[in-house]
Amino acid sequence: MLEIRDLKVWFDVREGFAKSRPLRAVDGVDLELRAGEALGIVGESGCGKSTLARAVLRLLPPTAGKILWLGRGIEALDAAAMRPLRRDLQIVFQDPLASLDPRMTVGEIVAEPLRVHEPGLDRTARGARVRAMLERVGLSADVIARYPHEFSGGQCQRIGIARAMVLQPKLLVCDEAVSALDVSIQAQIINLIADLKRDFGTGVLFVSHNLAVVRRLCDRVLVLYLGKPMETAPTAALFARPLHPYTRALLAAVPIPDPARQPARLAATLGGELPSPLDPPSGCVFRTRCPHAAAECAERAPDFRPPNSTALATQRVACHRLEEI
Amino acid sequence: MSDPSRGFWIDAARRLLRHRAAVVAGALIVLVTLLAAFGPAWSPHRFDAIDWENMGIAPGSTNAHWLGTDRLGRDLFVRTLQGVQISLQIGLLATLVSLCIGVAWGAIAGYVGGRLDEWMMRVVDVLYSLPYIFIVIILSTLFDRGNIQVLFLAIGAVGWLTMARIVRGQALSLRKREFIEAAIATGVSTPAIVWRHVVPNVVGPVIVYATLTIPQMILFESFLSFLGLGVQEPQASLGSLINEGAQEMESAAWLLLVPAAFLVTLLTCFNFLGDGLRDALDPREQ
Ligand code: SF4
Repeated sequence: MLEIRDLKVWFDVREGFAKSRPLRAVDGVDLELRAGEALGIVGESGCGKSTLARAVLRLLPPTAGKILWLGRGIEALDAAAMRPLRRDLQIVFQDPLASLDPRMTVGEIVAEPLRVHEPGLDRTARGARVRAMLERVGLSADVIARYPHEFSGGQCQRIGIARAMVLQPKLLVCDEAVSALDVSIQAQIINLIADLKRDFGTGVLFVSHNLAVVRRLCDRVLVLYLGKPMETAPTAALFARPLHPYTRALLAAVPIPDPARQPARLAATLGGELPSPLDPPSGCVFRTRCPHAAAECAERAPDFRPPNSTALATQRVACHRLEEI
Repeated sequence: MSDPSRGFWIDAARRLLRHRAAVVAGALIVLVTLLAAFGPAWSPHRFDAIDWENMGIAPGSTNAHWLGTDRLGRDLFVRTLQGVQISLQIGLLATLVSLCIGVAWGAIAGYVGGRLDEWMMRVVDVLYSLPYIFIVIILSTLFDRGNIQVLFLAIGAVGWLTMARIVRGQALSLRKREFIEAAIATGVSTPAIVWRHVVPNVVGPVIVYATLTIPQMILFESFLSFLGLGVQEPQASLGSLINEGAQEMESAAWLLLVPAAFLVTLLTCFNFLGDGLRDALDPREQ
């Protein structure tokens, strides 16, 4: 359904009078998403996963590469040509309250996609769809006259999900959709997204730094580091036998009760700081923090390839020393 | 947000009602407006009728004319109310014109951004640098002298510049907000985003600025009338009345003091109301 080939998203960063340098937020990512499938995109903050999600929806212009949606290249379409496609491409944002217009009622917010893509719908029909969707996401239909700031974070996220799902899109992008919420609420929202995915057959691109959340929801996982793919695998395989040193470090940092402390834990496991994406290490971008780094790793970037063993054919990994470690 | 169960506007209204000076100012404005709207019709005198028996009468010296008459025997109270009526009309009209143009211009420039923004704001800069008074004087000679409304449509059309800058600044910061990105992701067209998302979110500062523009426009009209460029006899505006009064200041001070008192009251009230609205509509001040 969705296929991305060698996607690059670079930003020009200007520092004072210095010449602008490209910030390689996303630097050569391939991925594929089948209808009804959920793909998790994980990595530390700053690894380019949100940029990737936004580029897929053409909210940011891609620098290079291809985005194929239902077989059609959409990487170069202009805003007007993109508009009709957006019916099937929806997004849920990280900050639930900020993504809702403070001057609109909940009813108006959820009705907006219908207004745009089904202009033929009359008021009553639209109202009925909005109410049905609100109930579907676990809110009572009488919230339509109220304003976003009257709701809690979790409820706001339900409203955001209702807005995204009211057209029954083929692809739902979730950009850190639960990371701003309390842990108990996170589980409810994840379950809601999983239910909607199952019932509507929606494909989900789930961007998160939280592996536990991804494990619950996703069929496959893509691990990003400094804008480059490190490993991709079916969720079960990835958790059972992570092959890339970075994935292993991520997993080692996961089983802790408080996900907010995950970054600290990760830093402890890995040691060192995330290098600046303005100035990525040569060769393998992970080598400055990799416990297995060798001379070869600094010279040449590793290919993103399946391991030699056929038993692991569903996985793809970018590491020179994959077979040794 | 003091009480999360209430809407933004209800909250704002409650904050405004707590602002004593703004409430008093608002009430006074309503009172003066009603007086100006209906007073001249109820009075036995017409603003241009000459009372041959009572010429240049001081306030309080006859029951027929509460605030006295001018040298031509015209009732000063009625003339002043008539002047308030015209001054208010002009203030509102000019503000409305500058509001419409300024909001549209600023919202489009700020939201669309890029080259269009640069170009549109350059136009504003150029217009800013033109001598304002000069333009108005030229305009006033172009239009029919007595037709002050047309003149002030023109003034409003020049006066939208600051409004455009304010709205642009707001729109520029709004553009980065997530709910705008959400609207883009939904496929809402750019004009619809400006109209449905940007404009409602800049309406607060706009109301405040408009409230503060009305007195500016009234003052400007008075200034022009004082120069003899505005309202023509026998019509009266606060400015032309003050002009007439100033000429007789030594012998008949009331002719200056009465319209001046109305003018000062109105200007002060609008400014207090504007201040109150600013506090009420900006929750960050709380
Ligand atoms: S290529 Fe080298 S540095 Fe990179 S992950 Fe593999 S072993 Fe580590």
